[in-house]
Amino acid sequence: MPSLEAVHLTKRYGSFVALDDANFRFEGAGAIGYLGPNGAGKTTTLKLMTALGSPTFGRGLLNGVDVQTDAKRALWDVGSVIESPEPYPWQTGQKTLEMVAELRGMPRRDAARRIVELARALDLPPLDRKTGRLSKGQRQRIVIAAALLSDPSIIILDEPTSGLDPAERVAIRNILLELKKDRLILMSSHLLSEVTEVCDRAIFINHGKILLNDTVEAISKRAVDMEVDVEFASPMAAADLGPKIAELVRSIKSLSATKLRIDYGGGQEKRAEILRRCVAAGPVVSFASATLTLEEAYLQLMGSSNAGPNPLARD
Amino acid sequence: MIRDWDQFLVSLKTQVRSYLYTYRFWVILGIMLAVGGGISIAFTIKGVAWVHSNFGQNAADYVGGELGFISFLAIVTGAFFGGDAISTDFGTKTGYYMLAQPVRRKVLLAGRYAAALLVSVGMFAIFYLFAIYGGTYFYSFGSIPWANLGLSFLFGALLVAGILSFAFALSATSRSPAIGLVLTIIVLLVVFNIADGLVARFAGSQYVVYSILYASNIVSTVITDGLSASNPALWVGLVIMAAYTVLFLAISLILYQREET
Repeated sequence: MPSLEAVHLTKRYGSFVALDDANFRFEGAGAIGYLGPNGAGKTTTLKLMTALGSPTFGRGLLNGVDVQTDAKRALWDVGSVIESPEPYPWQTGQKTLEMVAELRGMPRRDAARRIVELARALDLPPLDRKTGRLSKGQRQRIVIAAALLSDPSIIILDEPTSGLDPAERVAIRNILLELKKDRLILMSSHLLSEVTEVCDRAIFINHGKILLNDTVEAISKRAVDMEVDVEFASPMAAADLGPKIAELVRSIKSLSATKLRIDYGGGQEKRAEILRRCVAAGPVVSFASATLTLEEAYLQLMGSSNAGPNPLARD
Repeated sequence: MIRDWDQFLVSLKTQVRSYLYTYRFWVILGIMLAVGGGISIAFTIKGVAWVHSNFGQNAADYVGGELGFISFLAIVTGAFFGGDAISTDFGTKTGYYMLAQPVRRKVLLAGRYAAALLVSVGMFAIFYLFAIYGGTYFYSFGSIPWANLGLSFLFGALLVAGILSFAFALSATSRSPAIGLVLTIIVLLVVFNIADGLVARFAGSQYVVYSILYASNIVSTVITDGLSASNPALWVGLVIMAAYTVLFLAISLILYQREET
């Protein structure tokens, strides 16, 4: 069963802390999204996990093998795309993939068959063309193909769809959805919709610190316990309802002429009282927990990590 | 899991291909052919009598004289083939591709070094072939001191190994692929030449033992003087060249293993 673990992983550049005591462990198949703004520490983490950098403290383990002390064995069953790697520009796509196959000890026949499979699945550019003459997106697809070539059990991807057009993104996303059924994928991305669609879990990181590590579903649920969406049969302004429930809520926001989002901070009794007062204020069509997209959770978390305690963190 | 040896061969093969697919191989080949071929053609035009009056009646003197260019060619060859061996991984995004593969960096480095040495010695051999042609044409095949020439070739290979190690180490100090190449040429051709001259003049030639240029003299003197060659003595030259090979290769390896993308 594939496993991936960071133990007190820390990276400092002088006084700057790029990664501060990161800890996580994942085992078994699935996909984990690694989210954070630019400079948050995402790529640093992925570099440390793939032996492209060495930690100041702590260690990274891939399938139980320490990346720093035995990189060859640790990376043996791992395919990765970190930053936007550039294969040798003088090599053709075919030779680029064959070289990786040779370095990974794949039998020639298996490699040839796999290259054909990947060329079809990823719609690779003509493989007899030198990679230096390919577009960024075409090169990125060659690099992704190289990462998947040996059919590794762990796949580490740093913004894998960056530079790809929408159709290429869909193709990669579909492949990831297929792969995550029996492989472990750790991927950073700026595209929260992509993470929502592909990943089962998400890690939020900012200023080098991991803020949250949970399932995508749970992250949304944490926020829904704090807000309700109320829909009235007739128009209802936030200013009209506000005075009636003021002491119970933190804020009221109009979503439409008839729909309001009430942030009450959680609590069943408070929620029941808000419902009672809303019904008294006008005919209520629906009263339900607010749904929060991963994007909204991300924005909440990143906003607060710059200015205060984490509203999504569990007590 | 694949053996280090097999990965070494992949690294070697890839590096040799990289030379063949880039201009540098053809530039060096051009220099070798121009210098070696130019000398041979010029001397052939001048004629046997001219060669004998300038190089003497001895084939060893002629071959040794022609191979006097060898340190210059070794420096250019070493700089071109070794000057970007390490920086290429960090100055471009190739490192993100190669270094994330399950291969030890020392294995990658060893493959690249072996490839650079192989190609450099191959280039070197071209120059020796021209020297042999001249020795045969102007003197006779039998008059060439074959044993000494063989030793000279081995010493030349060691000289190239030392210069390649030096170039590898310089290439590990910068992220720019051009820096290692330019620095190797400037340091060995200009700085060492000036420093060696000053040290030899004011302190004595016995103090120039830090210089691989000084050591490189044995590549040609062994042909004319055999095992009794001096300035430097063969063993001194060999120790200097071996020390450059080992010391700077070790520095390259340490820097390469510590370097981060």
